[in-house]
Amino acid sequence: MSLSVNKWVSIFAVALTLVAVRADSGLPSVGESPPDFALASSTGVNLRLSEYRGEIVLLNFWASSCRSCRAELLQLNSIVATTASGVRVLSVNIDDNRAKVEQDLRALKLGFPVMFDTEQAVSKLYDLPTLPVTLFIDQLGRLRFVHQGYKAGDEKVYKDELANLLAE
Amino acid sequence: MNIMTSFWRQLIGLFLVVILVTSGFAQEVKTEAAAPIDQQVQDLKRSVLNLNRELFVLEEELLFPANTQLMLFLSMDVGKYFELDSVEVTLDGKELSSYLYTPRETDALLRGGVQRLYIGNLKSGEHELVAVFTGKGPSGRDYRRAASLGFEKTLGAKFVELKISDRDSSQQPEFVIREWE
Repeated sequence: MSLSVNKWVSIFAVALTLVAVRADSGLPSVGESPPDFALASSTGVNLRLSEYRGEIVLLNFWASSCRSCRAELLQLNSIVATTASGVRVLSVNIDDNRAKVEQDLRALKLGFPVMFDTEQAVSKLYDLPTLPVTLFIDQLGRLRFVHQGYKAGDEKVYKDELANLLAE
Repeated sequence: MNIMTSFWRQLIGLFLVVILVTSGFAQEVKTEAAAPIDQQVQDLKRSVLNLNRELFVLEEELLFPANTQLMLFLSMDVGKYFELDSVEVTLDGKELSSYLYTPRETDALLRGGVQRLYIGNLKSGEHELVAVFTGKGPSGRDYRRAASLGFEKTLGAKFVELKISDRDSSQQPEFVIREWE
């Protein structure tokens, strides 16, 4: 019986450790404000995340070599084109070759700014586990929804979540 | 008789005092109860903000004691010949601060804002501060300039300002690092 109790205590301790480790690493936690940053952008000026407080921000991280990232970007482009004002898409590209990314952007014809994280400072700050990653940030600057990876049909979930945030 | 009069006078006086005090208290209670909840929430928020500010000041005083404190500020004057993009500051060859400016931030600086770029601790002695400014210079060309300052850190807080201004005579921006006395 005592062995069993010890076993349960050990399992509980390991679980707690895992939870603590999970809390200390990875993406920012839902409900918290994601870290602020500023980067050069495709608009020609630097953009800072905190300057969009008061609007709903879809913060998207992507790389040119990632096929699902491109598919998601096109869906985000269509969402932003049909959504009411007060919603911003800020996209962060993590490639180190900015000229190549700019060339890609001309083909993609996105209706939102792309920020260039050529030194991967922001992707390290956010500790990205995969690509693409899309974070939904509400008007108060709190992280509300996290999406890792993308598959066709996810945009329906995005639209629902966006509608919920807009209704608040 | 006089004793009786005095007794009654004191009793009436006491009675009046009790009435006044209790009516005042009742009024106070009524006012408190009648205070709108919005007002109470606002008061509470104000108290929290004040407390937060005091904690912030206390935290800075503990983390950066006046004897070792170094503060860097950045200001801009006019900005006709230079559009600020970023500043990188090194102290004795080590990176101290790096900051990227958005149009909103440069606009705030141009309207007289002063940015606290860095706060930290520094030991006494001779030091060299180098700031590299990048942005768009005259005619919209990419512009990169450095300015440096050698200074001695003594006991007491050290305040250093990086100032960007226009030099009309040469139609060029001017970058100056100076100590605040």
